[in-house]
Amino acid sequence: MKHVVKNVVKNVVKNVEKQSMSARSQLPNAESRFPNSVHHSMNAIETHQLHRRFRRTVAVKALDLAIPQGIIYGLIGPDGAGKTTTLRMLAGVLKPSSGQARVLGQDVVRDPEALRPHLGYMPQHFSLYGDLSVLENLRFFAEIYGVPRKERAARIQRLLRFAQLEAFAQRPAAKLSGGMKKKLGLACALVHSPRILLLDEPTNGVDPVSRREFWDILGELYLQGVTILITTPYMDEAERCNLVGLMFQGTIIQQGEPEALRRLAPGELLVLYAPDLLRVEQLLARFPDILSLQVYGDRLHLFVADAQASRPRLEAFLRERGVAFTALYQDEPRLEEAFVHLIRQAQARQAAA
Amino acid sequence: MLRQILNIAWKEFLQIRRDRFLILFLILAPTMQLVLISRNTARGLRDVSVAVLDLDQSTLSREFIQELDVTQEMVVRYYPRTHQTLHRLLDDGQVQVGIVVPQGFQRRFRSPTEAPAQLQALVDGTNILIGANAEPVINGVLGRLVQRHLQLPPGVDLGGVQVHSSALFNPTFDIQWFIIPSTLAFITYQVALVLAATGFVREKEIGTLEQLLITPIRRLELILGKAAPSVILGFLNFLLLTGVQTGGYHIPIRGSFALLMALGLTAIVAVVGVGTVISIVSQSQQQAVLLVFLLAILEVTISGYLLPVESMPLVMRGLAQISPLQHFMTAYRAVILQGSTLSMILPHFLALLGLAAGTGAVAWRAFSRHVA
Repeated sequence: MKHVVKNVVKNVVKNVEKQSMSARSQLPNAESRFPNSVHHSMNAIETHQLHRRFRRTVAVKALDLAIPQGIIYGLIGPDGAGKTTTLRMLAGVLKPSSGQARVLGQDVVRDPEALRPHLGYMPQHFSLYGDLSVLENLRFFAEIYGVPRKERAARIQRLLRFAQLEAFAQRPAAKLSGGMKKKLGLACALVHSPRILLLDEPTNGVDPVSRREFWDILGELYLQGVTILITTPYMDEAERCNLVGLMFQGTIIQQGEPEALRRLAPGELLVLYAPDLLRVEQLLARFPDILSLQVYGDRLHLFVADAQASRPRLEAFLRERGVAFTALYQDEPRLEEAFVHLIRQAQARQAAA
Repeated sequence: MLRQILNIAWKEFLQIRRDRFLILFLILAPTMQLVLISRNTARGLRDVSVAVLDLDQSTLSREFIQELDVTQEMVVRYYPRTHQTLHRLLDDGQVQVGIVVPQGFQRRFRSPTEAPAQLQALVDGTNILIGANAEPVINGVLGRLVQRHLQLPPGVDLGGVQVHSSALFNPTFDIQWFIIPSTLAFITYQVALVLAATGFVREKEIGTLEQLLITPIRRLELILGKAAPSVILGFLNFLLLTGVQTGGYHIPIRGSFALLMALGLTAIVAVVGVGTVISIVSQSQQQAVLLVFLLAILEVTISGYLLPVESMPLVMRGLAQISPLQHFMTAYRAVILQGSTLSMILPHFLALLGLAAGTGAVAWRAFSRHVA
């Protein structure tokens, strides 16, 4: 059953992607990206030259975002890139220093309150009332969001089932496991059936099984047409988004669908396993083909312009120097490699400037 | 072992050094407490309001009044013409001491053989400090008169001059009647303040405040909703304490019970206002509690708990006017022991209402600035 849902999600995602996105689109404005869409004037989230300063540091700088309705948008980037600040401004809990932000067409600076009934926001350090039970937490948020009394019980039941928390309804929130807490947080953020969901690293520190379950829930919400803006440190999660924006130093430096971003990795990827990685790494500094080199635990990821051509040369190079290696093969670059490369590139550009 | 103890202690110091608020508190609070309390109490009783009913209208009685007025302890503020007026001044709390100079005071003073000259002193017994000090002060003045006019060496007894003092409202000068209602007011104040002061900052600490801010709830609703339980619990506590006071210590409630409850509620609302402001500007619960503590030191000194407000230096008398505890304590004692009516405690009542509105407004502004 779950499998079917996932496939459906995937297909829908694909279709949306086909319609809406051109590869390597670097922040095109809304009109150019949706030439045929009737909704073209109505992005779910739009920002224009959004700035936020904290004393001497600039957290968000000249940010232009245009997120179409009904997609899952993944905001990725190194720590301190300004992801959380962006989300807080969009949620209307932090005032921008300058610039504009519209969510569902509403100006979040001028009228943050108008948006509240349609917005679900799960901050990074989402906290619930630990001394209240799961059910009491849900009821409290349902009351505050003004969920009609008649629908309340049914909706809470549905959310409990949805979040697989039925068995724990009476348990104090503080006594839940990390993954369950996150799911309860999501349930609380969903209690008023928002059309927009802002999630700030919702799965951080959660085990892989719980993460998967969490994403299954997001998939269902996606099918219901909820627009989701999510930040995540996990690249496998970013790959599940329709559109990914890479944020660095307060602005988006690259945006596109995950596959397009993946292709931004420099050239082709060779994976090298060797017992003495440190020595290999040092030696390879003198190997001319390498465009970029990343260490991943027990292996090296080497980017070269032409993997087919470089592979035999590299094998020879290592043998000549008597260096042992256990495997060397070509692989598809993942989003993670592209991410690391793009960030390094940006850092280098900055250092040069 | 010692090494590890020192390691922990060193880490503690590193943390304390980063906590600028705590350092400020450690320097400010103890110093403030010592200076304020000693400054206030070292001065002793000062400027107690006195009314003199002068039925003698003689040179000696006028001299007596003048002498009394120049003492540090007392200020003659009223010269009522009748006993009735004198008693009303006492009842209303306008004066704490009323003195009756009877007809023939001068005549008897000069010829003490005939019948001893007498003075009647009516002392507000609800403040034990005034009660205990009024008679010695009056005796001192009389002593100087005797010395001057009868050429008696100092230290000799006052010839035939007698002071008859009686304590009003607290006929037996029971110290409990003074201490317990004051303490009750102070505890009520403290409980309401702590409850309110930890409210917002707790949500801030566990991170649920941001959660609430993005819900459709309005700020005013949030502030009032957070304040309401503190008011209710504070009031229940006030009821309980008043019950213990009446039932356990047999201190009467001479005024209207409804008025007493209205007074308590108004005072608690004002105090919760102060607590809410503290809670909004504090960064942590620890900070909020320290602020409450700091405020309590100040309030205890200026509230009239230790020394009547009239006896304080000018600055502190000014501060006392914006102290919710001072208004509450004074009015509460008046209703309990003197049977004061609304019109008698109206200034205090209005001050408390003003403080409630004022702190509410400040809380609102602080919320907009510090929270969202």
